[in-house]
Amino acid sequence: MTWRKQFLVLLLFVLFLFEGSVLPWFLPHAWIPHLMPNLVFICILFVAVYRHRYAAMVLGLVFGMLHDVVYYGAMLGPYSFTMGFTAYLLGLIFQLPKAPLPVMLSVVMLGSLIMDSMLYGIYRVFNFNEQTYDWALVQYIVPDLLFRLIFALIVYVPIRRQFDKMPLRSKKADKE
Amino acid sequence: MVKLFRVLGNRKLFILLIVLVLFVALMGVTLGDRIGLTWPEKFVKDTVGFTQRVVNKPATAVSGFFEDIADLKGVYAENDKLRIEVSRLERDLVEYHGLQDDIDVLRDSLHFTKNQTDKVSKHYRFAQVVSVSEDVNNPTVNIDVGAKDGVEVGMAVTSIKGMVGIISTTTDYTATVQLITSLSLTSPDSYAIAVTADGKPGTFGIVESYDKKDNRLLMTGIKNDDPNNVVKEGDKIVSSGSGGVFPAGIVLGEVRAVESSEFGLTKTAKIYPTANFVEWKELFVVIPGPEPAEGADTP
Repeated sequence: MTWRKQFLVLLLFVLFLFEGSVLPWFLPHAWIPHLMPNLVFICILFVAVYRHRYAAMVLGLVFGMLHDVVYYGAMLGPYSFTMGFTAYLLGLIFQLPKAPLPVMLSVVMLGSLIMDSMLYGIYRVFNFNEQTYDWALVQYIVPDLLFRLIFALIVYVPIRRQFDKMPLRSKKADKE
Repeated sequence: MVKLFRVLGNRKLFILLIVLVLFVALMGVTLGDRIGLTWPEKFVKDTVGFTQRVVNKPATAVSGFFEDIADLKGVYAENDKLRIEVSRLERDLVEYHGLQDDIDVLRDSLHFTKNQTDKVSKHYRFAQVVSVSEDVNNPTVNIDVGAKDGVEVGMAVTSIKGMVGIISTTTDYTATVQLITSLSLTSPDSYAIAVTADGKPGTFGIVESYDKKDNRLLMTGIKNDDPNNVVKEGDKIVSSGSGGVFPAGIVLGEVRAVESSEFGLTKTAKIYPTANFVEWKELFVVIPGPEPAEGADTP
């Protein structure tokens, strides 16, 4: 069972590839301007709740930076920072190895909201958008939230099963 | 004061603050125009770009198959229409070649410089989309051609219907396209596209922002002082080639409304972009200059 963790990280990378190069070709065209799927982030939130916030933070930083570099349009850093920070924050508040479904779903909703708002704020500070926040809220933050919620519902059972198979280590070993 | 030191003494908070400062610095440094990427960025982009290409190939095939089935009904009517179009195109092509030769001869006799010929001549490099980032603030698309294929930062990218975006970064084998939906006056990496109305020489305007709420490109600075040559509704807007950033003749869209600008001296036209920014099939990078004689470049 020692390879399970590495395997899951690899799966996360596959998910990253999936959301960029497969999903947009299958979504209805009308949805695309309103969605930025970012499914990897949802899985990282699962790690934050059921595992440890540091592991989630590192994963968030790494996969956020990957997103930033691969889709480098304006600047490097926004995704890395928001994903890492949100995962850490929510891990700090909600970290419960036995959290039931409703708690997890509210974490996903909260995380999605915080992350999109922070991204909006960062791009706003650097003058990349001049829309108002309420427009952004209706245009993509709420649709995003619903889409991610549905995704979280779908993956909840398989991810939970994987985590239950992995024994929780002592707190010291977790910090690595 | 002692209390403040105690708060700062909290190690985690201190680290958080440092990380925040580092990230703001990183964003500031990587903002705007950069000359080339560092090697780790290039390495990550190239390797991920390659795997994305592998993953993307079956996905486009499957989605294309479903679209084909949906299109099956209209195929016969479309075929008839296309046949008529093709015969017309062939007739026009003969005429076009004649005119092109004439122009080349005239240009030669007038001793045009390389810069001047590059401004009007361009060729299209075919590119396949490998991945899409739907971020509303910063929409980008990765394509499978890069610096090795002659793609450079700042080149225009079009779909079959019209201009889609501008190359923002390149590595050896991939390039990232920033969509023109993110064009903005205030943005740190802004572009100004000099445009003109198709078939109306002398008209001039600048496209440098996109209205996300109306989904319209804004063409500003239209003089409209010549009554025979005004930009009005229904005009097709193409790049004019002046300014030297983009070659002439790239279609941007169609004028839907013309309004007075803020100060009333010039007009502002709202342009409906002909390219749609959701259907990713194939794109073309517009490379200025005549087509290289040898090589696998598709026209």
